[in-house]
Amino acid sequence: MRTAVHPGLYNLDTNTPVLFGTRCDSCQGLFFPPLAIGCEICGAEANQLKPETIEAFGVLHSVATVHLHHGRGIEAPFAIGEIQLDAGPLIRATLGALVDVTAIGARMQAEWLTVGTADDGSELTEPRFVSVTSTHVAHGSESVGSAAREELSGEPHEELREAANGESPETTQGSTEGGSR
Amino acid sequence: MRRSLAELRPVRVVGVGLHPYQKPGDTPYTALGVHAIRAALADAGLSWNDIDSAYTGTATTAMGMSRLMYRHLGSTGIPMAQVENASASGSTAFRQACFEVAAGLVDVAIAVGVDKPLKVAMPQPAAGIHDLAGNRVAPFTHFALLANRYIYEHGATAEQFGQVAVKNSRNGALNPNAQRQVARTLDEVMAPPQISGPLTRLQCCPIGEGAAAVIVASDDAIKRLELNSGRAIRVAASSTRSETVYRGENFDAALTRETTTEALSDAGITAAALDVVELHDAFTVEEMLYIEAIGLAKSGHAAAQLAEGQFDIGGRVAVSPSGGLLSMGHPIGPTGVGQLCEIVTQLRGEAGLRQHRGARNGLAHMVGVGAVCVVHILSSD
Repeated sequence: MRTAVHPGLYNLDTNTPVLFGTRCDSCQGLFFPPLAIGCEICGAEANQLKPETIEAFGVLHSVATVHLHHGRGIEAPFAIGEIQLDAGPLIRATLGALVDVTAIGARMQAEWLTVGTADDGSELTEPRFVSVTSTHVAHGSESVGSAAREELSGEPHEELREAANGESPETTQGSTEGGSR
Repeated sequence: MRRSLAELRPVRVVGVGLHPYQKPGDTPYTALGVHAIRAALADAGLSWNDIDSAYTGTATTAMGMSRLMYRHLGSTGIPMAQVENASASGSTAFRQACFEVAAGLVDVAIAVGVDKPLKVAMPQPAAGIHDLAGNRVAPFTHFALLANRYIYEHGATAEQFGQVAVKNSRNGALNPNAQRQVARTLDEVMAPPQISGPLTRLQCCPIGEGAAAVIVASDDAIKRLELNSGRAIRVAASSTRSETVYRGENFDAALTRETTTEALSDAGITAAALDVVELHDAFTVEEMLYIEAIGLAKSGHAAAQLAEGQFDIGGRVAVSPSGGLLSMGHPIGPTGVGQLCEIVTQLRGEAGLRQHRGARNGLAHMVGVGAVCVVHILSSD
């Protein structure tokens, strides 16, 4: 049995991840994550907003190796990607492996990854995006390529964790979570 | 229908004051704010009794905080309100003060930015919004993604982003109100800890506490109160816009371009006429993106022109002469007001070692979570 890390954003019953989006019947805009109250483009009301599944295929628009974050259930470093989905929306998601800037432009697809165990014993599962041409399949934190291993060397993890916990006396933008803009 | 500030009666900045930005500590926000207000009153040659209306830019401290602060100057019964617009809170408070004077409702108004980083909360949880990235994407990762995209599109290097922090630390070292007052080398800027993507710690702004105050007045008040009109700086434009759907385009840059275009049009000048610019350089990549979005450099050219010194104090246009958010700091509520303090000081020719000679037109730019963008243009004339 599996439990979604992000309830309401995808269906765990499919072999490959399919995302839950929203199509506006009025302007045909397609959104992910789904909208429920009104259309961001044309302002159409909820009765015009229809659920639509979105294939999790696209192109890597940008990527960043994250060393400091506020999320749970994942150890840094990991890679966050912006994926321009073939269906239209530009989304952000965790990648299955660390990649650098040279991967931008690559074809991407999502695959399931078990990231932990839920309180009821089920497998906590989420989609991770990987390069379609990649020969290496993500398997949790072990899915780190050679370039990534090089990047990991010498990282001051302890210092970063302290900063993430707000213990750094000179709080940087991130450790106060927000206020970036 | 939209009317510009230029269509209303003139508004001029007559006083500016700051409490130094600093690491979060035990100083009450009331003491931070009153320090800045007294400095602005002294700068203008005004007393608190001369102030008709007060706006407090704040986002991270507490509700209803204005009167608890202003009472220490004497309870005059004037209208007062908090203005929250994320990082653009102070800029928006200033805009409200300008409008009240420009509309002829009052003659003298004050905008005060003050904050302590006590309650920093993003709106998505309360909106019930979840996405695949969630809290794994802190603000610096949002900008790290933009940085790597910029590298991909323009062939820039991480070191070129680092040079923004080098320049701004050099400026901040000359600013007694800056939170970071140490000039850094590129090696120091690029040194670990790595935060996200190409961004290191010194390429991310410090969040601290502080206060900034700006007093604006009508020409009638300047005459009646016998203020020094030679030191009064005209507010030539005030523009603000919010994000629309850009279909994949970088919304921070697009929103900045739209808002700045409107402000420059209202002021009747072009970007080429700008002498000093304070912009939202919370992360190094932002300065490069906004230099281009404002029109100070063509797309992809900011890094090379930065390396040539074109954005230094004394260069073609001084960008972040205060040290910017990267060195002066980003205490949120005060930040936008503090930018205006720097622009006014520069246009008066009173910036001392930081002075950009001959400065006549200045632009202050902030973006805020939402996203919103606020741009002010000030001119000495």
